[in-house]
Amino acid sequence: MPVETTASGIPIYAVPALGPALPEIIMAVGVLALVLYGALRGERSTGVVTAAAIALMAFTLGFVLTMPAETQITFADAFITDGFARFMKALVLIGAIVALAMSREHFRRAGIDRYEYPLLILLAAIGMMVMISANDLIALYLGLELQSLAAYVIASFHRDNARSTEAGLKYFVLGALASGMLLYGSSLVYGFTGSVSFPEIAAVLTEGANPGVIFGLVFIAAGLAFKVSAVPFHMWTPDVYQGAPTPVTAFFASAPKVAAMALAVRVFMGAFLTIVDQWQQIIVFIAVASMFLGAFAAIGQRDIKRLMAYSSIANIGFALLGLAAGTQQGVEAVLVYMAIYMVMTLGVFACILAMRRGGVELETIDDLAGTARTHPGFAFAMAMLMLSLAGIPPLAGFIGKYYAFWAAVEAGLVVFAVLGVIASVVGAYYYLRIAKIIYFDEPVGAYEPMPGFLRGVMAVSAVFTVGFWLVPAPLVAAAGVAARSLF
Amino acid sequence: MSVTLALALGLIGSILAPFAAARWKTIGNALVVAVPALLFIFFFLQLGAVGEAPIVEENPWVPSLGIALTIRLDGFSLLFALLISGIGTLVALYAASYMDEKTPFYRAQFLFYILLFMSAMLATVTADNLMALFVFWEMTSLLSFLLVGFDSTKLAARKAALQSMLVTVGGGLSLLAGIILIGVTAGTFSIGALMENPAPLVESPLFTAIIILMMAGAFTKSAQVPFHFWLPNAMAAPTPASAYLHSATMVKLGVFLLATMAPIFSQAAWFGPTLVAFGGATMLIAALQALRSTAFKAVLAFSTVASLGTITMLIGLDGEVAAVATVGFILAHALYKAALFFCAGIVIHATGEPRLNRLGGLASVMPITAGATVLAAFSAAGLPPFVGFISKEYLFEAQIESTFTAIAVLIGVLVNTVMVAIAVVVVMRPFFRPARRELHVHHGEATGMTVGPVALGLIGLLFGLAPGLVATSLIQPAASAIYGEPLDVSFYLWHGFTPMLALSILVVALGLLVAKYWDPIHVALRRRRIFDRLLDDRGYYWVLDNTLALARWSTLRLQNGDLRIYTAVIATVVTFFMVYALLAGDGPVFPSVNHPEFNLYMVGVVGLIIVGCFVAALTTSLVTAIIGVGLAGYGLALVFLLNGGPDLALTQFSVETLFVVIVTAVLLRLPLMFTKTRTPGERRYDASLAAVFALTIFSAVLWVEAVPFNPVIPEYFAQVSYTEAFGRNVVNVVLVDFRALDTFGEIAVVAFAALGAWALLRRNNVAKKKPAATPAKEG
Repeated sequence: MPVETTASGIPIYAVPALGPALPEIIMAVGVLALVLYGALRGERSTGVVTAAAIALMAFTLGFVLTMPAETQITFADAFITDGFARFMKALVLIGAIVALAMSREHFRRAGIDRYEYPLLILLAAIGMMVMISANDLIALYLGLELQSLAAYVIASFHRDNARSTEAGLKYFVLGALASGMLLYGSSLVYGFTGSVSFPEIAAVLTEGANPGVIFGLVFIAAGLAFKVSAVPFHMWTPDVYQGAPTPVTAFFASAPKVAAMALAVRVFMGAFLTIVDQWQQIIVFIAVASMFLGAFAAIGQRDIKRLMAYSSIANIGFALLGLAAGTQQGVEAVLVYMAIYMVMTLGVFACILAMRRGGVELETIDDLAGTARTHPGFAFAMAMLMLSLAGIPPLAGFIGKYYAFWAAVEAGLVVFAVLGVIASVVGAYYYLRIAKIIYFDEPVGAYEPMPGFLRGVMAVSAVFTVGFWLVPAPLVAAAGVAARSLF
Repeated sequence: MSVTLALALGLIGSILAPFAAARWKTIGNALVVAVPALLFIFFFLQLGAVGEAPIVEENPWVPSLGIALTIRLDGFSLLFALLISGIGTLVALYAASYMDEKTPFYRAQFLFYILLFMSAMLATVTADNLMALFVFWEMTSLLSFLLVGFDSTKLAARKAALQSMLVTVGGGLSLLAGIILIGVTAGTFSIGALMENPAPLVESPLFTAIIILMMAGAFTKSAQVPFHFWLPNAMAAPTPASAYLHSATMVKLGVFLLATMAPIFSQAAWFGPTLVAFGGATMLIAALQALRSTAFKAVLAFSTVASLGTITMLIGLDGEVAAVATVGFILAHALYKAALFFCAGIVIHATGEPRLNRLGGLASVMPITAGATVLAAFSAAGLPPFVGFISKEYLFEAQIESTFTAIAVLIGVLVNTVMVAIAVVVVMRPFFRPARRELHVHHGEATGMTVGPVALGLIGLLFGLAPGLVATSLIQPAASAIYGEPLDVSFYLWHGFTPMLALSILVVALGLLVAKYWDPIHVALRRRRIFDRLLDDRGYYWVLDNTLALARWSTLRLQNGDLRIYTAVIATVVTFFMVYALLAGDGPVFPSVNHPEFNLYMVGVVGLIIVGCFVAALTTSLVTAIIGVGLAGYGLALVFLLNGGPDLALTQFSVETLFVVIVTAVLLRLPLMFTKTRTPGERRYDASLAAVFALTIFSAVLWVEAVPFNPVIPEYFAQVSYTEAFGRNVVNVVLVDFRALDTFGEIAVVAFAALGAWALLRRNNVAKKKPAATPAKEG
């Protein structure tokens, strides 16, 4: 580290270039302003703060999309923006915007529409963006914790609800455990490679890894697996998904999953790519275990939010299979998969949020019975989304799975790809059953009218799911560009 | 007009026509029939071109990835396209009439599914890209699901819909796995390209796996043993759907795929014999089950399964004749079986009686239906001069000429005997024998419904009398396509006095005998419950129930809402990974370590840590546990202190103190004693897990110690700490100089934590809350 000095020997440190981090900075300044506004105006400000938060994220999204595609590094190599970051940040922001916009109506009815919620979402979004742009272990941890701390709070956002508080507590305890492991692993890696920076770690590891690094890697993998809720660190997911208020669950299921997956890609592809054969087994194990547990456990569920939790576990398993490939194609598969997964998830949650009768939230799958007759549009969207989650062609979910399998097979993981296919057969059972309940069972009664925004999200998601195979090129091409920037 | 355009227009028509039918009955129904009819005419006009060379049209789909949606129409797919659109026309006509009494919405919905299904089928058989083929293949499964469960008020229909879906979609995924492997090994998904250059595929070590996976997919779709059970259950569908999907078209997709791939797959020596074995087993089981069935449609369904088995066997047989026989049989079977289903539908619709033995004497009420049934049954029984006779002659010839002579012929004779008996029974029982009990006939024949079976029956007769109509135009290109090279086909009625004719006569004679004693045979076989146990869908339910049980067990056990189990699982897995890393690594598990000098005071400090840990683990009081943990933390701080890190020690001391104070203060508001939350068994498990975890960490630390740290960091700081920061204590310099801002942040964090604790502990700030209700548990 040669440092320029003045004539008298005092070192000069250049001010880091702020340009690459401008989206995060805009968000951070915005959220500070909104905190002040909210604190001064009190509860009455909820509507304004929510709208402003959405506008802020939308503006940042536009900003991110117009940023130049070439790779830029700043903050002493800690922070990177590239095509990958752009793709993932766009996804995360879209997820956060939609999740936030879907929440307002729900919170108002539950009597908990506080201005803190949009602020926490914003903070989580900043954390996720830092995660995506992390280029060293410190930035990784910063982003991860910023996102997690906000998430712990919003999980128990419904403070007077025992389940919601329990969800928050469980999430926190297990999350803290995972963070601890991640930190421990990071310090081991730092100690044995002499650097926290991903490219430098990668450079050191070209000569092979010593056991200390592998140990550190195990802990880091455990911490990351917790964040993407992969087996066996998935335990929090069903409880938190069920306990947290539904809009919060919608948020958890969408943007943070994408961000955590992006982080995993950054770590494994950025820092540890040269020792791929050391971690491939771990990731493959986690991926296969997730696919199977997600598929099997979903079968026993009656609660649709728990079901979505298991669905997310299984889906993450498929995405991880793409990551395990350790190739550019694998990253591309992960990107396509996560994009498709996020759109489907938001659509499903729009449907779940619309399931209300007599002012009561409905949460079991039996409440979907016969909606084909009472709400044909809703039923069609929900059925298509479920079939897509099951990976039935030609729906979008199938195409995501296909890319993941393909990448895994190309990387020589044939057996695991076939295991993945078997797991998706098991999983298909449950989603098909839901399609059966929607179409063939006796209707219970009509829901309350669906708010316009939810209807819009549902429609867009369903159209995307059904029509994706006709025009897959834009997304696939964008994912290809993003994946290329990593290699 | 290109095939692509025709298919696209067909799809648009398939979507729009039913909507018209929902609004304007007459025009709409005409439109619904016109869509498949026009497609049929289109494909009919392609006969000449396809006879010379397959039509190939390339349409860009995802050009950036080089994926094209190529259409490939060869003789074999043209045969299917004609059957699909031709029978589709009759089915649409029939269905419009069949659903006449239903509400317009209900009728339109049904027609919508049927036409959409037709589009998907046409796309499946014309797709050149295997991925595209798979996509359309699964679409037909989905539409089959919707059609089987169409009568959604019936439990049986819903169950059958789900069953057919699970079996075919599951098989479809197996097919997908096979297709992906093909793509990987051969580098292309194009069937045409594979046919031209099968070498990479055939020589690949994955060839066997590919064949098995594709076979599994084909067997589920075509209801071959052991997946034969879903097809008879699928008869819960409305009859037009049964006639179309579950007899004439969709269930033939499996054999379509096998036949298409046969020129390549047959390079594996075991491919043919395996098909013969599965086809033969399917034929026998289906024939037996047909004899045991009571319902009209069930008898037909089992005879369909037997026919599918026959086709599978024919694909497996070697020789040119087998190719001709396959094509001939597919054609003949589609014609007569669809007609028989149509007739069954008319009878059941009019009487509401699905059981064969309750029907009777209907010839006078429904003369046209009776006539159509007779025509179709003659062809089914393989009597001259119907096309069924020709196809049966070829079937026997293929069996005799193959290498499996004896066993194939034996199975062929047995099963065809039953076929003849079935043909006789479905004619005699409903139409020409008197009913046992009085039968209430609701209405007579509707023209829309009788057109289909009569037309099909007459076509069967026509093709039988003048086989030259189809021999060179249709049969030859199709047989050449699945044989892999051009064939010179002779397809004619009279072969002279050959062994095949003798077999035909034998079969008819035996069949008449079985038909005469149908009732005693039926009753005797039906009584044998053992067949139920062996042959029906028990295996399916066994798999399903056990999967569900496993799912319930795993969620109840692992996901019961208990945080203890969650942490235990995480700790177990991390321990496992670490042990694995230790054992799989290069170094020895317990390396010898150059331990530093032995200090007596270190023993005291370590003793403090150990005591603290044991106190925390063993006490039943929360406060004592916290103090124990704090004790361990102080011990660690002492270790820092004694190893030249006084500032680090100070930080640790203050953090520990704050931690103990804050947590104790919080705990003071809770009951101070644990109620026991763990059973002795759980405690033992936790203890041993903790011990293993600690041991692993211990050996890991030893191991890590044995490996030199990366020297970059200590060297760097040792070098620059004096020159740049003018301090000799490296740790101090790092803390207050290099990382001064970090240290400042740390101090700030500690201060904030103290502030938070103060806010938390102010007595009057505690909100009066109701105690938490019962925690979330797995339902």
